[in-house]
Amino acid sequence: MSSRATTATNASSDADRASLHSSLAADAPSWPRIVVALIAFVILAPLALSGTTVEYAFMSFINQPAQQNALLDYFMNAFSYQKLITGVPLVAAICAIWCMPSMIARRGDILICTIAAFVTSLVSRVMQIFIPANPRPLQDEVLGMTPPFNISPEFHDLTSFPSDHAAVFIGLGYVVWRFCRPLGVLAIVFAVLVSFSRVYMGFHFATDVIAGGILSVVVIELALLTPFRRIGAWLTGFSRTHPQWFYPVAFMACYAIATLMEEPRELLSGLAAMI
Amino acid sequence: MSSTPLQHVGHQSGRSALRESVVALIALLLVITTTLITFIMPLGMEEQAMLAINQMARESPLFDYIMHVLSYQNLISGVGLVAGLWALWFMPSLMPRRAELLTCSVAAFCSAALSRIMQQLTPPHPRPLQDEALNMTPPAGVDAQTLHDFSSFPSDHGAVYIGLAWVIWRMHRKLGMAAIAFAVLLCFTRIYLGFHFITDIIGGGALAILTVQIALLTPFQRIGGWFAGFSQTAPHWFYPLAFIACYGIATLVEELRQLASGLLRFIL
Repeated sequence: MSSRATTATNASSDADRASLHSSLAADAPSWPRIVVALIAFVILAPLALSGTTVEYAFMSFINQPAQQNALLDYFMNAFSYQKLITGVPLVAAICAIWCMPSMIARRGDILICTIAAFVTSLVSRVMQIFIPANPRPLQDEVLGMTPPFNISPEFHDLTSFPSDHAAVFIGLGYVVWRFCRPLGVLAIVFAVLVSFSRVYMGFHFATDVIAGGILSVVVIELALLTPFRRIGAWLTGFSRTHPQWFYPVAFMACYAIATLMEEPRELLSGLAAMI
Repeated sequence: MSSTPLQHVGHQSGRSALRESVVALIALLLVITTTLITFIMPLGMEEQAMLAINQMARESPLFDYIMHVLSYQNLISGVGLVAGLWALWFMPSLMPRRAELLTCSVAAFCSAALSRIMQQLTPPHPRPLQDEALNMTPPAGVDAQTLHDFSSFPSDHGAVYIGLAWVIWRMHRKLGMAAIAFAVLLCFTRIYLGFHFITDIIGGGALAILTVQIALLTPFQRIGGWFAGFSQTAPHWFYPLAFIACYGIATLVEELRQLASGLLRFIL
């Protein structure tokens, strides 16, 4: 008796192998998108870092409702820090496409692209180290923002560009869109709205969010290069042969991605502080 | 694979049903006993045990930090236990018992909600950190005024951790032993940090076990079977919702509670 799980979501082993081979041939990075995204990023970055009039005008415009409606400020604040209403629904959308019967052959790609969406936040963090310090809107004296109600920002860095939250959220939305257009449109719209709650709260400029999104498109498309796709396929193999190991680990990884690994980061910095 | 309500409950012989009832009765007795101890006759033995544990406080900053981190970081507490549930869900040998797993897991979480309700309905009972008679030394990094709840009894974290560990143990002995050991460790951190008395934890845990045993009754198992059926017929709906639910269970719906209490402040 085969030890493989035989749920309705898994085809027989021969069909799996065949569809894996066909899927390995069926997907590839979209080089036009990568090129356009890189060009856009290169144009955007100096504009974002130098603080243009358009940018400041936009921020002042968005800042107008601040401190006028406590309920609005409350919701914006909630969307800026709560994971249950931001990262969690986006990761749930990834779970949905993973489980779609039509997507079974493409699970390897879904997996590696989701990992890539998270990796974008790391890329973004690394970039923040090398990019000259640029204050967040709330810290920017030239802008003179009115902080929304109950804002208690804890900024441990002076790097607003690019936004790692936007990178992951828009990245996850992009992954969903890539594999399932209808759900993906919802996901991207949701991701953009959520990212803009952070703009409203003064954590990021609009260009930081756009840059994060562009970055994630580049990283996710690059994840479809064959070496990475092979990794995705290999990991996905475990979901068929050892689901009782794969899925608990996947759940923990999904929690980590949905929370942008805040807890491990806190843990590590706390330990570092003791040493 | 058929999606009819699973028949495993019918597999239970009279002897097994008796054993489940006995477990439920013992759990109920523990709940009653700990309630009495908490509100009517505090045990001197418990106070001594709490103070003995408190001796370790502030001796090692690293130990205090690890205890603190285990008590509030979800990734290394609740998420670990819920991951155990997923391991069981996808174990080929346990597939016929998926309805039971689902129903009992939901029950374990509900016991945490029940604990919260009990906390609000019973007379205020200060946490060890705030108990002047006990005069605890707060471990490093713990603010004696952190917790604003009315009552420390019973412990909702204890309920969820012990409840989930009990569910896992019922389905798979080996994984269950690891889960129970882990749950005990997590509960110990909350005692060490002064959030709960030992009887709070035992009471919460017993409440959880009682709730899980009640969830073994056929009506609840039928509901669980109906939901489990969706995992076969509409997995692309079931699993995203299950992920959201599991996030909630692993975090004891902290964020939802925060959101709700924030909104209530606006309405009232």
